[in-house]
Amino acid sequence: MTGEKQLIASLQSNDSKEQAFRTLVSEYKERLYWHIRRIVISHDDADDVLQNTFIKIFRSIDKFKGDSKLYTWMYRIATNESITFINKKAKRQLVSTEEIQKAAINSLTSDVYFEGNEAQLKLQKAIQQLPDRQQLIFKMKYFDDLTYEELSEILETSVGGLKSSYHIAVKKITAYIKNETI
Amino acid sequence: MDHSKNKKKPGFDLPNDYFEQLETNIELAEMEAILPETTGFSIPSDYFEKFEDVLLNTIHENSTESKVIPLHRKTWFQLTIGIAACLLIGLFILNPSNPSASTSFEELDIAAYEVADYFENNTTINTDDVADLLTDEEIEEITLENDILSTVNVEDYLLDNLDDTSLLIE
Repeated sequence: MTGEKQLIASLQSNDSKEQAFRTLVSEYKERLYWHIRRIVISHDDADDVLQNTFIKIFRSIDKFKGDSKLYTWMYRIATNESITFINKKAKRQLVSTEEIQKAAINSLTSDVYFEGNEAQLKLQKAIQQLPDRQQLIFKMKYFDDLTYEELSEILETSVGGLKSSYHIAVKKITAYIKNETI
Repeated sequence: MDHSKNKKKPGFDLPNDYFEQLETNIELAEMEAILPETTGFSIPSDYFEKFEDVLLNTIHENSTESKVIPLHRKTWFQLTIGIAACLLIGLFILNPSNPSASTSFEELDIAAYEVADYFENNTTINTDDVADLLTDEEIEEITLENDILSTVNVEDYLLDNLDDTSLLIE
């Protein structure tokens, strides 16, 4: 039995679930955190979403059939939880999701958990100009360094489509940054 | 000696669309080169160290809150509430101290809304369940009288709550 299959078996057994879950959290918390953080921007929001993600994983692991890799499945949950979080925030505040994201970017300069320079801030603003889907694809490809095949499994989109989206996203971002620099 | 026969493939292989994608990949690499590699985001110093304990506490707290309540106890409690709610509606509608007095929409709405909200959100009991507990005589007593709501009250209610007054038949 491979390492991953063994871990899944332990997670799906009542006797070893908690210990196996601790192992899972220990191994994947940082990767999932940074993925979520890049979507929701604020550390406090990322913390909330990461907790929700792992709680969902804990409750759903019994239903995991192994059709995909464990990490892909978790990544997909984290992505959906992040998007749901932003949507709920927008609904509560009666604004659009674009406005929520804009507000998050604008508050970065006064955020204690943002130590970036002007170029990094400009990059966040450039990304925010993209349509939601392109933002997600760019962040996952550029910062998370996922392969197109992994992206395809997580987002359930064709590799060709992802390549086009990513290329267009990079073009728009660099054009934005060049225009801002002039 | 014919060396061409000895020219073998080097044994290397390439992705199918490698050369087609090459120009695109070079263009991408040039654009990516001007972008910052990291986001500049940071975290509290001991965040990841504490995370697992905080998470598992949350999971344990959530599982403690959702204790199973014995069905018979819950059902009896809900039935009692349901009967009390029906009697309350009956009191508002019948108004035995002054049978000729009409009930205004405002009074009726408050009671009905609260009861409806309770049935929608706090119980799985439906009106059929409650009706099963009442005798035929008791059910007959809880009836709307035709003239309880005056015409004035109906018109006022419609004018206050109808967005498109063109729907009103004149």
